[in-house]
Amino acid sequence: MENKLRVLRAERKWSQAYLAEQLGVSRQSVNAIETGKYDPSLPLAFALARLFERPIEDIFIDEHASTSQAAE
Amino acid sequence: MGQLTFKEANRRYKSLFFPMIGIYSAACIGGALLLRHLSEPTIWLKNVIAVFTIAPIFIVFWLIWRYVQETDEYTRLRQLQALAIGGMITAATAGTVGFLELYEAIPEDFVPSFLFLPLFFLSYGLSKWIRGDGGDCA
Repeated sequence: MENKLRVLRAERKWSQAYLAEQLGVSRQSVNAIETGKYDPSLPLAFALARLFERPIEDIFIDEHASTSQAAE
Repeated sequence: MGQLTFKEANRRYKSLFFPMIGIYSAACIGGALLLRHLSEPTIWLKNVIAVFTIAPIFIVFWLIWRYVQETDEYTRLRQLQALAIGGMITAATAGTVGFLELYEAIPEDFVPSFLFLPLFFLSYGLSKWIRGDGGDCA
């Protein structure tokens, strides 16, 4: 799943290690989410949303939703 | 999320993993040397040495299980994948050797069965390293 994590992190000048520390996960986890190799669970997605003070859908891009909206 | 952070889980894992591997290595060498120096070791002594040697590995397996439960979700996934690959390689190798021995294609004891343990840890570790998780935990 695509996401804006890298952009949001860069805006705040946070390193992957800092974000990982805030979330209580490994730096490899943050990297895997950023690169779209791993989709986080709901609790971790909510934790990211709280940290960035954004709704989940502002961080993660639901490709299926955009295609279904285009079809309508 | 009501569980340890990755760093805490990693620290707990490593604090016992390395001492256990040290004890296992010392027991492997010490047990072999002791048995070599005894002229006629009793069967119970051989049993005690064998059980004492393998005991740290049981603790290491428990540590891995605890680490998998305590660590973050992505590390858990990668750990379980590496454990599955290690287990499959070991089981496939043991099965192949077993059938080769059964059909007398190779002599019995051609591969000492205790070597399947390091094979498991080697394939488990290599799968973690190749897949880019070498820095997560030992």
